[in-house]
Amino acid sequence: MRPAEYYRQNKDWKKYIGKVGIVVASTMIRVSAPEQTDLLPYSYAVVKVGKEKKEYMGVGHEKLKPGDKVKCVLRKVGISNKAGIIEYGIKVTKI
Amino acid sequence: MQINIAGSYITKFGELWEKSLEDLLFEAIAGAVEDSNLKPKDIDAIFVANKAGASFNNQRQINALASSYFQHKPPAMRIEGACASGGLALLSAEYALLAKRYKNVLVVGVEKMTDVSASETTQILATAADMSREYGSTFPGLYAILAQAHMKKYKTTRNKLSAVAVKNHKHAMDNPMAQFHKEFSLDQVSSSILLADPLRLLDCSPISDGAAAVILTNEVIENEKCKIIGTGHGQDSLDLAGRDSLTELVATKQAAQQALKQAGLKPEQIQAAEVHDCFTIAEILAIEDLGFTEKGKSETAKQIINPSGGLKACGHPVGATGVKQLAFMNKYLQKNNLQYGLTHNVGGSGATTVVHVIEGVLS
Repeated sequence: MRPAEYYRQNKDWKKYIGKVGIVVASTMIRVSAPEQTDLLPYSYAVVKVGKEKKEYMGVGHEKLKPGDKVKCVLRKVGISNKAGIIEYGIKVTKI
Repeated sequence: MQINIAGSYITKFGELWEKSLEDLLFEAIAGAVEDSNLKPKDIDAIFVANKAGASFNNQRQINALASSYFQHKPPAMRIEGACASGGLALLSAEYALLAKRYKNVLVVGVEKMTDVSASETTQILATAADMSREYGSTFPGLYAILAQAHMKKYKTTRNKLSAVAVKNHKHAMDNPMAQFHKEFSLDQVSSSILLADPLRLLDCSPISDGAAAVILTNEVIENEKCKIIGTGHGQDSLDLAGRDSLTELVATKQAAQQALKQAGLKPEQIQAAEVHDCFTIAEILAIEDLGFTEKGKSETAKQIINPSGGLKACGHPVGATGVKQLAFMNKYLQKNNLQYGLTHNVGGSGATTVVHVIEGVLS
């Protein structure tokens, strides 16, 4: 992620952090792009947050399934960034 | 609507270390021109389909590269729509013919993917997802979510997914240009390594090099060959979260309805189809959403599906795939004396779909 992209997506954090949602569909990703290799395996899910649907990575190796109640939290979403920034973003964790 | 297919050609698909992007591009162009009754100077314009030549091969302006094959340097443009680049390039060429701007156009699709590592390829391919809303996703991951939703709603089984791969690898045995000439059992597919639950390695189409070309014309052709009698173009949200349903691809339904209506046909009149089976679940969704069967009953389709081996076993050089489907169907209808065929080309996780209906000349 480039610094400018990182800055722009930061603006979404305060809108969603702490929000609660329900998992609509999910998978466990076991092969990823280079930025996420150190995070494998991780869940990836479509989550209903209020009236919106969003797509988020799951925290750690937590396995998510449809119907799970989850909360939006700030976590590391990528490693080994060439731009030298540590990539944080919103993930979801079971509650 | 009627556009004639004057010639077509498909290169070998596979991991072609000895061939460059340019080698593949020029081989496909030369092959299609030779297959037609036209001379090179008769080509009025070129439409090039390519997804990521800049990322895979450090090559931009592929339109000019394609034009440089010809002494008269016909005007050329490159079209990008991820894995639907080929379908979109065909549509662009067809619109130009229907507008009477040109008489004979060449559509060539090319992708040279194997010069970078598999991990870099995953990253390049992932750029066809919504980069701000789907960060951390992969294409196996996105299609795995569609598979999970389909399994939940229609009780789709692991074996049903595996059967798609088994069938398409069997079909590829008869296609000399296919990447794989190896059959697999249901158990082998079902026990291959997991990439994104429930999708396994053998549920996925491969990383491929290859090119394909067709020459389309609105001129009358001696020894009439196949013609395009219907086209459709459907569009949906780029991110999965933006869609109303995860168990159908709305863009496929839209494109199929448009193309079949234009052709004046019903889905059951189609005898053979090349559908976009980038993953096994994608073929199941395609069969249902094209209207060949009810939802959840894709195994009852009467059509011959993916006789080339599909993306799964023939290979998936992404920019070339849509053109390859039409080029293959052109020859397949002629060889098997079939009247109606269909091609279905999808971009990304289903945001863009192009459908063509082709009519063969019965002998």
